[in-house]
Amino acid sequence: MFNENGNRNREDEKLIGVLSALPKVDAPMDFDFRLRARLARANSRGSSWVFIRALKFAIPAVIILGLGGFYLSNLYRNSNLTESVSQVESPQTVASETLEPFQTTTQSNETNGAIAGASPPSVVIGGNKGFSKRDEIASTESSTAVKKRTASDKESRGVSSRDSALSEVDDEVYPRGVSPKKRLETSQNSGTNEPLKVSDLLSVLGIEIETAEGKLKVRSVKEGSVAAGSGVKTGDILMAIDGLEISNSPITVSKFEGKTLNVKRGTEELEIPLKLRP
Amino acid sequence: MPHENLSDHELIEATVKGDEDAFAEIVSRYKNPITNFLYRMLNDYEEAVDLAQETFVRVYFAAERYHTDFAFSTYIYRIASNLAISEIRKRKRRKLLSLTGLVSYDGEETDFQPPDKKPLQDADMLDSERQQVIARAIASLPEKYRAPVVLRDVQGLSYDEVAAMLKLGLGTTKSRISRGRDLLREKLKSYL
Repeated sequence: MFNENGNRNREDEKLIGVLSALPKVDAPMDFDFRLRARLARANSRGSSWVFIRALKFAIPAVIILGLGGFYLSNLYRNSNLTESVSQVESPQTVASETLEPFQTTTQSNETNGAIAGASPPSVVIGGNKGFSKRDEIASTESSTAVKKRTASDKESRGVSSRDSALSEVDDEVYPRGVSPKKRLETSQNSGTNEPLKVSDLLSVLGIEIETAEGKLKVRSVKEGSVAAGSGVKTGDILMAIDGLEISNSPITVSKFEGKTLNVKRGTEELEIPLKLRP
Repeated sequence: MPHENLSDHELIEATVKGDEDAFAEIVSRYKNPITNFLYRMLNDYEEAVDLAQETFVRVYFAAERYHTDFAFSTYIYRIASNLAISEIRKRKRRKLLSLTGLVSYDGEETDFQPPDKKPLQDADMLDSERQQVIARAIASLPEKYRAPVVLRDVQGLSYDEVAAMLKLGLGTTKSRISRGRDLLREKLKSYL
């Protein structure tokens, strides 16, 4: 073992001798000059380097703050919607029967504010369906809206706004605001069908319209509304709902289910599916 | 007071205060050993000079942060060895990508080929060839053995200094130097 270590030491010494005898390599003659030039360049870049380094921290910070703010604003908006829905759900007046699909009552403007932030009103109609919570609402505004009600609801007709009637639909249970459990009376029993104004119909969706060159043009889209969530934009020309042409003439709303909106945007014609939940 | 009589610490302090001549003195003291060290690490003179300059640039801009807790030589060699190791790793990546080198399982470069043993007529040429072989052998060591061996056996620094420069324990430093020598002996046995 001693020999082994001794041999090893001797070999190490040889190796160390060889390595230490290697000629030293010096820096070139112009080393100082090149270094000065390099330092001068680095100095001139100094401020921009500080800025770039600051950006490395600033950009991620801005992104994180932006995302956080966006998330919080969404949270706030959703909580507002929830509050509005709960306001709308508290019954204003009585309506205790089911309605013929989207033969809405005339509704007051009192609850319009609540509707603005309410969860997307259901405008689906068709068949023997009804809104489960429409029962509880009566309209105060006299309008041309028509609904079929049971006898007990006749008293409350015209009490609450049409918008609130629509928005009180329980979207979670009946996404299109239609309760399959409720049976609707026919128009023969509960009254006559009155044509509904297109503007009123569209305002339920969150669209304010104006007439331009004989066409219906979107003047504004209410934030948080069905139309906003579905992608309807100010300036869109409204062509049809559910494929049926619309104009400014009163319409019989029983024809519409409110599933799609056909618009013209610029030179493009678009079919926008209406999403109940923006 | 002439700068030649000042210690490294004092020169750095003067540099922080804006004395460019103090920094020039630092450069003149260390440019050759640093260049030599980097050349032995990389076996590439131009690259060694470039990294040596980069070392001094970093020393200059970080002068305010330099602490006198350890020797300035430790500080500057640490910067230089880090730059060298980064360059070695960069080259290894390039080599892997180009698929030209042989790489063993532990990442050790094994492309060192001992030259033909046929003697050359010119002694100087023989000596030059021998030095090149040794330089290539050193450059073929894995990076974790290369720096300790070069600092200890080529630069002549102490075990403690090498350990401080590489931020290693003394025992680890000695074992790496020992292992590095074993590998070099294997590569250079015909020259020893």
